[in-house]
Amino acid sequence: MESTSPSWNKAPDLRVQLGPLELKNPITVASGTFGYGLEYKNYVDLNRLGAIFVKGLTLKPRSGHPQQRIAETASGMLNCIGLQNVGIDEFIKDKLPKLRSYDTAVIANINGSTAEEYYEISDRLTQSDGVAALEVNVSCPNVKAGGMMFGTDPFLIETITSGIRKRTHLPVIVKLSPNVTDIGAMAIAACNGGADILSLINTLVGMAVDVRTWRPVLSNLTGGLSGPAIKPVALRCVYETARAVSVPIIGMGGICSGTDVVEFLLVGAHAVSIGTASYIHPDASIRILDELIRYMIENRIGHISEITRGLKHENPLP
Amino acid sequence: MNRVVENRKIAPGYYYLEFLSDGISSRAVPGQFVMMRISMHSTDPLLRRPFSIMHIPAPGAVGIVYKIAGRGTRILSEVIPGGEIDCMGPLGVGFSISKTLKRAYLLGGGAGTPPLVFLAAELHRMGIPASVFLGARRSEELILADHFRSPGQEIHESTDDGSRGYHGTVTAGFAEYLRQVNPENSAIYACGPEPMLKSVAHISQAHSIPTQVSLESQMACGIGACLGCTIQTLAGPKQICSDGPVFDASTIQKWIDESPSG
Ligand SMILES: Cc1cc2nc3c(=O)[nH]c(=O)nc-3n(C[C@H](O)[C@H](O)[C@H](O)COP(=O)(O)OP(=O)(O)OC[C@H]3O[C@@H](n4cnc5c(N)ncnc54)[C@H](O)[C@@H]3O)c2cc1C
Ligand SMILES: Cc1cc2nc3c(=O)[nH]c(=O)nc-3n(C[C@H](O)[C@H](O)[C@H](O)COP(=O)(O)O)c2cc1C
Ligand code: FES
Repeated sequence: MESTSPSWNKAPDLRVQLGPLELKNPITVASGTFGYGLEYKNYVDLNRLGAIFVKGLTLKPRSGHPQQRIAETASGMLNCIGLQNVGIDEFIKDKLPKLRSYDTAVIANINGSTAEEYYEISDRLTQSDGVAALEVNVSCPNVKAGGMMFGTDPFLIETITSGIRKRTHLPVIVKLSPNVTDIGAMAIAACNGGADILSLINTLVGMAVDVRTWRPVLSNLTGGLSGPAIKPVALRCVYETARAVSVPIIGMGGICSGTDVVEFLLVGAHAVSIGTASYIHPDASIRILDELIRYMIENRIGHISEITRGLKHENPLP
Repeated sequence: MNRVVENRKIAPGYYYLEFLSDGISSRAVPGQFVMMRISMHSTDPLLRRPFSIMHIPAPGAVGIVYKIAGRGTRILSEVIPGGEIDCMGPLGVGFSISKTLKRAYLLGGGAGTPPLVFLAAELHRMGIPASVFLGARRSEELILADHFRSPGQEIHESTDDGSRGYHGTVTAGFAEYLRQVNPENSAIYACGPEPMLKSVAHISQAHSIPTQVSLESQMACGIGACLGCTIQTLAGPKQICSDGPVFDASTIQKWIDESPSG
């Protein structure tokens, strides 16, 4: 029996090739939801993760927005952190050396309020040891200058992407905002600029109101919605992006289980990121990885890429 | 998963909940908290809720006291003994107690009282006397007073409506008390609503008494990762969940900015 067992009886092959970036498995953790990785080291075997996307970095340290920064909503949460981070110098000096000791890809999420800021951060990280790729955040809803402005204008997306592309040998991932009418057009712009990979979705702009005080709950008036509530929107965005472009996609938005991952892969993702779920269970990413492996064994899927773009429909994904 | 062994009303709007957890029970120190998942099979409420550890009633057990504040705590109040919750902890950095301390002043306002019970027990164990000041809007809401009756502990109650103890806020009562004593080698520990803590910070500054406050914030992760619970301090932004919840009151930036003396 053992010797004649077909290949699906072996441990499934989880390795994914995202253009120039190879990951040991498709489960990564999303920027801003996993700190600098180290916060989770007592809860998660970081070596098992496909990649860690660290908290959004800026050139100078930022202290972020005043309280209140978080509001729970139905099956989701709003945040207006305002890109609080230690700044690129401290990240390179203090966090990166510690992260290097783990066997996982460390991906830096970079943010700027001008194109030049993006370029400078990109240069600094390119010269550092231990960064596997750059994720260009053109979609943070919580910073006024840049961020969202870049992410909703295809011309700016293309300009910034190509500017960074020219200056770095690292794989360039562009993170797209769902707060646009045509996400496919943004994806095409990023690809025209030379993006190797796209990641999506960032949070949806939302609002919460306090009926006792008649004031907005969040200090910044609006915030980014994440969690299970946004999964249907995220799936639609990944699907539309997969129709528009052929570069690998890292899908995210409300993923809480192994079967959620399968849904994202079917509509066109090659890998996924776990975000808000890590708040509820710090080891959510590992649980989800184990559930995905079980799903593959039960369904006799030998290689993860067999699921990607597998959606059955009269009009199949290219 | 943690089995609930007790969950009962102790005052209007306040509940005592006891659950089993060897890990939390054996490691917790006063001032630390737990993050509790309330609905086990639902994504609503989604996030865990933070609660201070009130005491360790027996090895393997943990007790908290919570106030009904909204949807999550209302659902929590319906959990029956034998049912399950999911608790992460102990989290955060608790109170620090100097061995040379001669007297501790504990100030608790409403739902801020529970962590002081744990602290008072520790002070008692260390042989440090404590003067405890508890405040509430009305006498029915003065909770947990019976937990501060160890030898060497004296209790001062206050109510906003004057229905029990000092008529006024807990900080006003404490400020009056301070005029009659010598606060040398003492320390203040306070937990309660933010206006109360701010006023404690200003009183302690005027009397130069070292003061630790336990702060609150909306929390998502509880372990320093989401940056939702940031407080600006003299040493830069800090996370209430992982750098706190206990902070030296003299380092809180906004209280310094609003300080009556400058
Ligand atoms: C470190 C820490 C320790 C705490 N210890 C205790 C305790 O021992 N006993 C107790 O009764 N409460 C404690 N709290 C407050 C408690 O966490 C909130 O009351 C609870 O999360 C409210 O949940 P809810 O779903 O019922 O209310 P929601 O519907 O979420 O909100 C109702 C109200 O509570 C406020 N609120 C929500 N979450 C928090 C929060 N994390 N902190 C402060 N206010 C909040 C909201 O602004 C709103 O006004 C503590 C909070 C922190 C941060
Ligand atoms: C508190 C918080 C902070 C975030 N910070 C960042 C960030 O710094 N950079 C970024 O690109 N995305 C950030 N995000 C967005 C997430 O990476 C992710 O795109 C989004 O939360 C959707 O996934 P989820 O529903 O699984 O959380 C943040 C999300 C949350 C909830
Ligand atoms: S609650 Fe997430 S950093 Fe404190």
